[in-house]
Amino acid sequence: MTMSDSDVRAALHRATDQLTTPPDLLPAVRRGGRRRLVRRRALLAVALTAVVAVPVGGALRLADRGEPIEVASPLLDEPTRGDLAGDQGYLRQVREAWRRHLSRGEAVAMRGEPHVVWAGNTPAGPAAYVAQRTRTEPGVSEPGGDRNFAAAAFVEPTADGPKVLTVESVTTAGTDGNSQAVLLGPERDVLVVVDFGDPVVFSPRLRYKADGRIDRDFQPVPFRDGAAVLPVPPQRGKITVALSRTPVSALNMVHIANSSAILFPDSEGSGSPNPKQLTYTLPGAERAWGGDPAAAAEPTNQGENPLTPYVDVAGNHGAGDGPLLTVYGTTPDGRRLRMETIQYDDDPARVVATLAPAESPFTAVASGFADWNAPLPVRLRLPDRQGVLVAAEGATFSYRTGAGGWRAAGRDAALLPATATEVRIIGARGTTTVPLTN
Amino acid sequence: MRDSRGAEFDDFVRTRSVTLLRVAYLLTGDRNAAEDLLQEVLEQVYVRWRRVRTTPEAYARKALVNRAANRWRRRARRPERALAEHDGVRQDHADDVATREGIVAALRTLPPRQRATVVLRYLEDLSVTDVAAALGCSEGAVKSNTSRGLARLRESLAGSGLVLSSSTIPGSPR
Repeated sequence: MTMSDSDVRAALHRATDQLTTPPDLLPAVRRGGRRRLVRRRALLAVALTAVVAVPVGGALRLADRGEPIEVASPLLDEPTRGDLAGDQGYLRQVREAWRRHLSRGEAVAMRGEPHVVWAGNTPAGPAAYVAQRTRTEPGVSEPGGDRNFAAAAFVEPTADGPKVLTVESVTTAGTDGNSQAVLLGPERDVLVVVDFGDPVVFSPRLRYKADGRIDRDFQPVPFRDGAAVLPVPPQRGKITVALSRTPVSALNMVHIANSSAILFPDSEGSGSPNPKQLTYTLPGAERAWGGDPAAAAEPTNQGENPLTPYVDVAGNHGAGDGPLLTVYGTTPDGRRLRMETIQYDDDPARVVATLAPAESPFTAVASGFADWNAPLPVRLRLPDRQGVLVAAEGATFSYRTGAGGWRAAGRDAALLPATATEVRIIGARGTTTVPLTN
Repeated sequence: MRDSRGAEFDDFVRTRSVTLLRVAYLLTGDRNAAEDLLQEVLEQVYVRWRRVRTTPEAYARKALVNRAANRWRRRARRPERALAEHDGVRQDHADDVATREGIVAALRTLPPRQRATVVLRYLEDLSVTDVAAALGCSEGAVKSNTSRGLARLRESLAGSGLVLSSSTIPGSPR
């Protein structure tokens, strides 16, 4: 059999039709893109790209083609701060560790002497933050004219002496994208935050409210002599600490230098496995969605993101160990329905239902927790008597009202009538009946 | 914090990322690699948005092709995993999975330039001119790579025993 051109087209489409993008792609791209603007690992930093950030002090005289220019910067021009600022022996060790680190691989060419911005004692041992001017200062923003002019890194204590962590580039656009904090000690329970001049707040623990919303208490970071050293709960394998400039937001998030190494210790910060994605479209969803809901624009592109209260905007997390569940549907009164789960690390999975009338933004109307080990992992009662949303991978549902007969309700996910009093789940583990009284 | 990209960039990601992911998947043959590749390229678009905002998809497509061709030089970020193992979508019947695996395996037999040419011509339906622009080569090279790539693909797919119907997608590329 000879394949025609149309056969080839059909084949390629069939091979890719099931693909959908990860639900967190846009925020991940935005975060990654912004971080790219100013973060360059020294070993890889040769070509530089655009930067957009808020200038935070630093008088700049523009020059062409990246020749050295004098950028005045508090990072480089102020005396060393911290209680070890006068400890010449430790400062020498830090500078030597910095030079050794940069001498490995294709390091960015530096000029002048490394400057220890801050050096201090911590419960985990002496630590520092060091910076040095780069030999060239190529433009990294068009038409903004921002330039890369220095490199900087945290230095952590080890049994073998000071160890330089990831080296980042510093631009005249500011330090917003640079790591400003580090977790030290074998238990990663010492948080050091360097003072870049802006107020910073931090929250040591992540909790969830009864409806699954994020529950954090932020308190000011008490900077003293160039940094703050704070005891925090152990952060090994999972980071509960969140840091942000004010107001707290994803854009104001303060980066922790070694967060990736903590979250992904086996893959050196390269990422976590993708969670299993389960997407179900309930019968009749196309009526309100005007086509395939999964192909429609994200609900968050209209006004405020209804999931914001459920997102840890200033936190650092790996993907959850449960599936990512999304259900599309239509409510009896004709509103678009989207339900999705959010999970961080091994924390409980949250489930949020959002509704939107035609041409209106989505709003979160019901939320709670999912229990993937239960026969009925997801059960959410929608307001305004719009029904009860249930989901269980691979299960077949039926329901009844009072002592009435059982009615079939489909597989995997279903929107049951608000009057339903019981749901029966037939799954791999047998048949279970769950009351729907609340 | 100022951000000149705003809703325009967000709309681009939301509306075009699925299409770009599909291209990335066929170029890499691996779902995880495709997602990583797409995110890298979109971050690149974010960084260069001011320059590329008038033609972001063309820029992204070109970056996808270049990065896909070079990705073997970099360390793998995650273990490779085929699409069939990844999705829990219920309609993933065994024959669909076999079809996808067969097509991806057949595409993998093509050299990178031929693979990219076939994907852009027959998945994206790009014209010869647009493919040439995306790959940075002449239109003659596109025609040549298309012809050779198709011949090899047909040979591989014929050997796989896959039967593909053209009835669902009529017409042919420009």
